[in-house]
Order: sequence, then structure tokens, then C-alpha cells
Amino acid sequence: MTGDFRFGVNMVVPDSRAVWVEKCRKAEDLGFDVLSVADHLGMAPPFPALVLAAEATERVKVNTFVLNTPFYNPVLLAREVTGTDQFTDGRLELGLGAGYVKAEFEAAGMPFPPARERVDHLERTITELKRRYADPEHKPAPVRPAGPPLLLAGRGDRILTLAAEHADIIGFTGTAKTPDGAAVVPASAEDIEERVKFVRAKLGDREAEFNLLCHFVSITDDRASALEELAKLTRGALSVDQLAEVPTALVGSPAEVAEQLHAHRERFGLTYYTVLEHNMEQFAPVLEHLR
Amino acid sequence: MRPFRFGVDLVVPRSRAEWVEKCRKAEDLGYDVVGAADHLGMAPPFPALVLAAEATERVRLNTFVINACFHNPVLLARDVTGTDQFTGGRLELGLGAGYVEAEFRAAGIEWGTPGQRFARLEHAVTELKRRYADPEHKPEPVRKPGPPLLLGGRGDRVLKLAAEHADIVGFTGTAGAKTEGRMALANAAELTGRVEFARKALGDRDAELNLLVHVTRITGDRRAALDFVHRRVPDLGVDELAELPTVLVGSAEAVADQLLRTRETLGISYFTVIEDDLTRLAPVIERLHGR
Repeated sequence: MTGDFRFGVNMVVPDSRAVWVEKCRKAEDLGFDVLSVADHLGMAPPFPALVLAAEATERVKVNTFVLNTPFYNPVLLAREVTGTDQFTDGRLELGLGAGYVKAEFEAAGMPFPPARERVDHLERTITELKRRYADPEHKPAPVRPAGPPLLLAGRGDRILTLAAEHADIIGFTGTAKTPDGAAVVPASAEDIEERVKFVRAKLGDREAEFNLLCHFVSITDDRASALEELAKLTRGALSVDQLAEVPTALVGSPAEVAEQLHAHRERFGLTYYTVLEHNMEQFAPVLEHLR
Repeated sequence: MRPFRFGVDLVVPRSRAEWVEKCRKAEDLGYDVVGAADHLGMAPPFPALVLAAEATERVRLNTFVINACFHNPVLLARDVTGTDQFTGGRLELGLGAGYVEAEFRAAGIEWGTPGQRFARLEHAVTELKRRYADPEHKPEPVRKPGPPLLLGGRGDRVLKLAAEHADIVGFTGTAGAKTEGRMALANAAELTGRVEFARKALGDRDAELNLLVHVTRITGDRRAALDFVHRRVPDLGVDELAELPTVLVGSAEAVADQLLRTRETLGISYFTVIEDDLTRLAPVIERLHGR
């Protein structure tokens, strides 16, 4: 129970059942609210991994973070989603994205469509999922009538517009605008704020939870040195002063990070953070602090 | 001669609790294999099998059978090896070419010709084997060279492919000419013909032979039960139905004898019933235990 915040951990799913079960239990014991798995080739299949994660735990939600939606036929995806929703007793939160790793499309023998077509496919998929959830004949039936909570993540105008229209949770990537298919670079606080404002304008009165993938965590008594380290690590993409401001880098003592989280909530409306698995343990004292 | 194995194919998707209960029941009743089908309106097979494995101790888990036309082979390989890992190597993969045209239409997947569907099945088999053998492939299969493969079908090409690649050859027991809206079973001569064709194609290669059992009725009144089946399968006379190993009707002892004879004459030692017959076959399984 961390006040009004939620914290997820984006897990690297191992091959072995035993190791995966143990990791899931650990994340739950550390106080995280959501266990997330990505959707990449060379990693575990997301829905089977989430069923096992739910079996291994009691409380946490399980989430795809995020599906590479162009990989899926929408009708078959609907079955995967509602089936996993049933098998996890309604603990599923579905995260969708438009896909961005060009090499994986090639590896899967699929064309890498232009961004516009990938978002078209995402839109069709959302429509199809909602249609199936609402269809009383659809089997497996979703646990909740409106289907599992939908997280849409991305950074472009179109995907965020879709998110503002359809998503329960809007996932900000915290990355800067780069050419399609290029490596990701962290965005400045101003850039992120601009994206947040864009979404808020589109949302109007509709409420949605704002999620951010937190790329960097450093729990330390020496915030200044850690920020300098981070500036080197990110090869000057952002200056030390800029890094001090971004919500994608949570750096400092647990009390300092808790303060940052409250400040970011004010500025960006972010209440749901997803940290990477290698930061899971060092982030735990922050959860303690917020309790 | 191979020892008997009995499988049940689960086709009704409801809650987690119900799925767990029926998997445990199947294991308690002495089944060797719990399967999940791959149809629209049913559970997603791989998540379902992960849950089945968590709910049980001993049974193998199989897809019965995956419609190869519904899956990208690269993503399928990830589902297969991931589920193999998560079930501790208890997965057996069943594959077929797909046969329900309405489902292809509903999913917007091209139905094509039988030759095109066969080509997709063949491609899936080749791709899966290639990936199992690739030391870089993640998740890696638990056993080399991958989980046991069942290939199920009726036509010459599929049975030849099965004879070449499968650990288990699955016979559908269905008639060549389909009659819309009602069950069309092969008569004894047709079924024997298919089995002989596959055995000839196998030559010296050893494979387990599986049969889908369409009707099970354990009863003291065999005649009445056969009349009942005849009303559902009007293309075959009562005497013809009485001969079929796909129609198990009679006392538990008589059915056990029938299965012993079927194993003797056709070499079929692995029988799969559909969920509805789960409990009905139990006394027969008990009689054949360890044989």
C-alpha cells in the first residue's frame, strides 16, 4: 500500500519455471503492485508467463508491458486475453503498443510496416477486443464485463490520441522523438510534460491512470554523484541538470525519491511507475518509505 | 506393444477454478494426458496448459491440436518452448492443418486449398524443428530435440508428414466426405485403411498411434446406446458403429476388450476422448491400468 501510487516491475522472464516462480514471489514480497512481462522474440511467451506468475502469487496484477500488437491476429488475441483473464481470476491488465523493434519483425518473417500502418493495426485491434468483450457469446468471457484494464503505451500523437480515447492506463515511454526504428533516447522533462499536456487535452473529462517506464533507478545517499554517473551512462543525451528533473530517472535516498514522486505527480500526473527488474530490489526501500 | 495411454481434450473455457478442478479430476481418474484444443470460443491453448500443469503432478499436457494456419511459426516456437519450460518438460505438441472453415473466416485468415493448408503445416513442422535444434533459440526446449510431436489428420499428405516427423500419429476417425452440421465418422474399413497407410509410410520407424474417440457410453444396454449413436451418425448403420474404436459403447469390460483388440490389430495404443466423456471412460482406464 503505497498511497495513491502503483509500482510495477518489468520482469525478464527466465526459461526455468522454478526461477520464474521465485522471482514473481520476490517481487510480490517486496511490495510491488504489478508484474509485467515484455513481448520480444528470444524471451518467454507473455500469456503463458503471466498465468504462471499469477499461480505463483496472491495479490499482484499481471500485465503485458507491452504487446507488439502487429504480431497478433486480433481475433486470436481476444481469445488469448480473455482466457488469460479467466485463468488469472481477473488479475490481467492488458498492455498494448504498436511495436518498434524492426529486427523482430524480420525474424518473425513479417514486413515491418510504416508507423502509420502499425497504429492502424493497433486501432483495429482495440476495436475488435472491445467488440468481443461486449459480445455475450464470446468465449472465454472476460472476468469483468468491459474486459481487463487496457494500457496503451507510446509516444506519437496518434497512439496517444487512441490512448486518450480508449485506455484505462496511458503509458508514457519517456523517450525522445527519434526516427522510426532507431535506438531510443531519454526525453527531457519538458518533452515529457509536452506529451502529458497533449494527452490531457485529448482526455478532457475522462480519467486515466498515467504510467511511466522508469529507465534509471539509483538509491543512494549521494544524489549528485549518481546523477553525474548517469549523465555518462546516457552519453550526454541529457545534462546532469536535465536528468535531475526527469521522472524516468529516480535518483537519491528513499526519502528523496519519495519527494520526487510527489513532485512528478504534481507536474506530470504520474501515479504508476514501472521499473526494470534489475532495479527491483534497490527500489524496494522507496516502497517501504511510501507505505 | 506400447502400453496404453489415455488423454482428455478440454474444450469448455470457464473460470480458473473450474479448469483446475477438471485437470485434477482427469489426473485422479487415471488419464495420462490433459489436452487443450485450438478453436475460437475455447481456451487459449498454451496459457491453459500452463495452468493445467500447475494444477496437476503427473499428467502430460498436450495441444490437441494446434491449427498450424492460425500461428506464425516463429511465435509458435516461442509459445511451445516457453510452455515446455513452464510445465517442466511435460508438454507434448499436437499440430494439424485446421479444418473449420468458419473459424478461418471469423479470424480473417485465408482458408485456401487443402494443399495450401498442408503447406503451412509442413512449414510449421520444419520451422519448429529448426528452432529446437538452434542452440541460440530462447526459450530452449527442455529436452532435445524438443517436446514430443503429435501430427493429426486424415489425408495422405498429413499422414506421410506424420510418418516422417511425428512421435505420435493422430487419427481423426472422421470420414473423408464431410456432412455439414453432423458428425461424419469413418467406417471400420476406412479407418483401417488410414492406419495401414500411415504404418506403411512409417516403415521401420516407431511411432505411437493415437485415436480420437468420438463417443463413449458405458452401459449394460449396448443396443440402445448404439441406436442413440446411430441417430447422431446416420451415415453408418448400427452394425458398422458397433465395430468402431471411435465409438466405445458397452460395459467397461467389453470396451476394455475392444481397446485391447484395437491395439492388437491396428497398433493404436493412445486414445483421446473429449471433455464430455471424461468421467465415462474412467472405469475402462482403471481396467487397463498398467497394460
